Amino acid sequence: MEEVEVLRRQLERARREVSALEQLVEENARTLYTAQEDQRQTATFLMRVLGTMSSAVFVADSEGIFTSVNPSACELLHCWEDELVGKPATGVFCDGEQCPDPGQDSENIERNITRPGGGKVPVLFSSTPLFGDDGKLQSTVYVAADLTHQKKLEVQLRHSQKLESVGQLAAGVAHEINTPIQFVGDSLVFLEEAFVDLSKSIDAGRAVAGAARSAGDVVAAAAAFEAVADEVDIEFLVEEIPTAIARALDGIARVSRIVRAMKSFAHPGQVELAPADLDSAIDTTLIVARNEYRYVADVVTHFGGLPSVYCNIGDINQVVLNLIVNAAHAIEGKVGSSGERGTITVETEVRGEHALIRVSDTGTGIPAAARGRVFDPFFTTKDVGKGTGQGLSLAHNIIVERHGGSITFETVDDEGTTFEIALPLGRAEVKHAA
Amino acid sequence: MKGVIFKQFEAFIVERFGDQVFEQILDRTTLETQGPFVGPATYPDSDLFALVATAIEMAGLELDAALFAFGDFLYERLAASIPGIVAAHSDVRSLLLALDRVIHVEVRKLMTDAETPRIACEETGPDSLRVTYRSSRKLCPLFLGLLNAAARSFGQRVQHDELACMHRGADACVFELRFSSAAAIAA
Repeated sequence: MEEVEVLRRQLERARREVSALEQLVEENARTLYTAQEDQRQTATFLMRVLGTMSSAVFVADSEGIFTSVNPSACELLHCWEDELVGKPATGVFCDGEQCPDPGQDSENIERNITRPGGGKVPVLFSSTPLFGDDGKLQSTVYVAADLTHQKKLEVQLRHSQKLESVGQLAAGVAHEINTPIQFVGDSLVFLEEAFVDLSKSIDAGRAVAGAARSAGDVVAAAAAFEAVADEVDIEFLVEEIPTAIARALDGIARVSRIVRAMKSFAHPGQVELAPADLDSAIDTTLIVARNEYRYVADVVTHFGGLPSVYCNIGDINQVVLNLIVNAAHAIEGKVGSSGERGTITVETEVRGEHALIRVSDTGTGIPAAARGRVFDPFFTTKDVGKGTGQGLSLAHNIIVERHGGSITFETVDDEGTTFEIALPLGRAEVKHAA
Repeated sequence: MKGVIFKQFEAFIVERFGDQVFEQILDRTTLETQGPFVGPATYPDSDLFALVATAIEMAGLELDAALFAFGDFLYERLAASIPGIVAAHSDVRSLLLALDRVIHVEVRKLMTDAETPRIACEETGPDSLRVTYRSSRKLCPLFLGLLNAAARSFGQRVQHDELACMHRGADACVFELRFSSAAAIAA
C-alpha cells in the first residue's frame, strides 16, 4: 500500500473520528443537561419533602457550619434561614457545656437547643454523620422535634395522675376527718348542755347577789343557789368544760392539719425544679396516706434533717405516696385478717452529694419473677382494681429522667422490701428541668 | 471495551510495525463497529480481540506475548490519564494495593461504563503480594505486561509465579509477586 494511500485513509478516518467525537460531545452535553435537570428536579423535590416535615432539619458541613435548614427549623428557632446558614451549629445545639459530637450518631435524645434571638426550646434530638468514600466526615444531619407541647402535656398528665391519687385517697381522708369531727361534735353537745346548766347557776347566783343588795333573804337565796349548783353538778362542769373545749380544739386542729396536707399534696406546684423541704413534704404525704396503712401497719419515721433539695416537690410527693401505698399493700398481703400489724419505716439522710429517702416495709417482699419488671409500665402483681402498674414506672421516670437520681430496691421473700431513692443535692446534677 | 484501548492498540501497532500494517489489519479484519474508534466511546470486546487475532497472525506472534507487549506499551499511556493518582505511589506494590479500591474507582468515575477487572491483593511479605485477577475478558498476559511496565517506571523489577489461571479452568488467575529494586538487581 502506497504511503499516499495510507495518508488518505488516515485522513479519512480522522475526519470520521472528528465527526464521531462531535456527535459524542453533543450526546454527552445532552446527557449532562438531562442529568443536571434531573438533579435539579430531585433537589427541588427533596427540598419540598424537607419543607413538609414538621421536624426541624439542619445540615452542617465537616467544620460544623450550617449549610442548609428546612422551614421547620426556622419556625422552631423563630428566625430566618440566613440567621442560621453560615453560622456554627454549636451556637444552637450546645446545651450548657454539652455539645453534640458531629461525627457521632445519636438518636432521640432530649435536650434544649438555643434560639439565635435567645431562649431555649426542648427538643427530641438526633444527629447522623455522613462520611465520604475516603471515610472523612462530609456533613452532619441534625433532626429536632419540638417537645414544648409534649412537655406541657406531661405536666398536665402528672397533675392528672396526682389528682387521681387524691381522688383515690378521698374516702380515706374523709374517714380521717370524720373521727375528730365526731369528738368535736360530742364536745360541742356537752358544752351546749353545760351552758344551759351554767346559765341556771348564774341565775341563782344573781338572785343571791340581788338579795344581798336589797337586804332580802340572803340565806334562802344562797340555799337556792346551792340547790341549783348541786342539781347541775357545777364541780363536774368546771372540771369538764375546759377538757371539752381542749378536745374540740384538738379535733379542729387535726382536721385542719389533714385539710392542709391534702391541699398541699394536691397543689399543682411549680413546673421548674426548686429548693424544697423533703422531710416536711414526706410528713405531709404520710398524713394524706394514713388511711391506707393505719389498719395494717405502724409508721416509724427517721428524718435526717435534709437540707433543701432541688426537686419538683409535687412529683416527689407522688413517688413517696406510691411507695407508702405499695408498702401498706405488701403488709396487708402478709398479715391478712390475722390482726397482726407490720411496720413501714420512712427514713431520710444525706449521703455524699445525694439526699436519700428510704421506704421499708415488713410485707411479703417482691416475688423473684417480678423483680426485673417492677419499673416496667403497666406491670403489676396486684389484684384488679388495686393497682394499674403505673406507680413504680412513674416513680422511675420522675426520679431518674426528671431529677437525674436513682431508685433501687432490696427485697427478701416474706420479710419485706426497701426502696431507696437518691436525689442529687446540687442543681448541676439535674438532667432535665421540667 | 473503551475506545481509548482501541486507540492505544492502533498506536502500538503503528509504533511497532508501521502505518501500513495497521491499515492492512483493518482491511483484513471483519469488525462489528462501523466507523472509527474514538476514545470516550465503548465498543464490543470482540472487535479488539479480532484486531489482535489479525495482528498476531500477520506478525507471527504468540497471543500471550502480543498481549504482554501491548500491556507493557499501554501502562505509561493509562498512567498519564490519571497522573495525580499514580504519582501518589512510590512503588508498584503500593500501586497494586490501591488498584481496586482507589484507581479503578477513579477510572469508573471518569468512564461510568468502563468494565474494570477485579484485583484482590493479599500481603504475603514486605516485598511480596499474592494477587488475584478476575475479568470476563481473561486478559491476564495484558495484566502482566502492565505490571512489568509499572515496575520499570518505579525502577523496580517484579517476578511472578502463576498459581492459577482462568485459561486453565480456574475461576481466577492468582500470581505470587516478588518485588525488588533496580539497584538491588544491579548489585
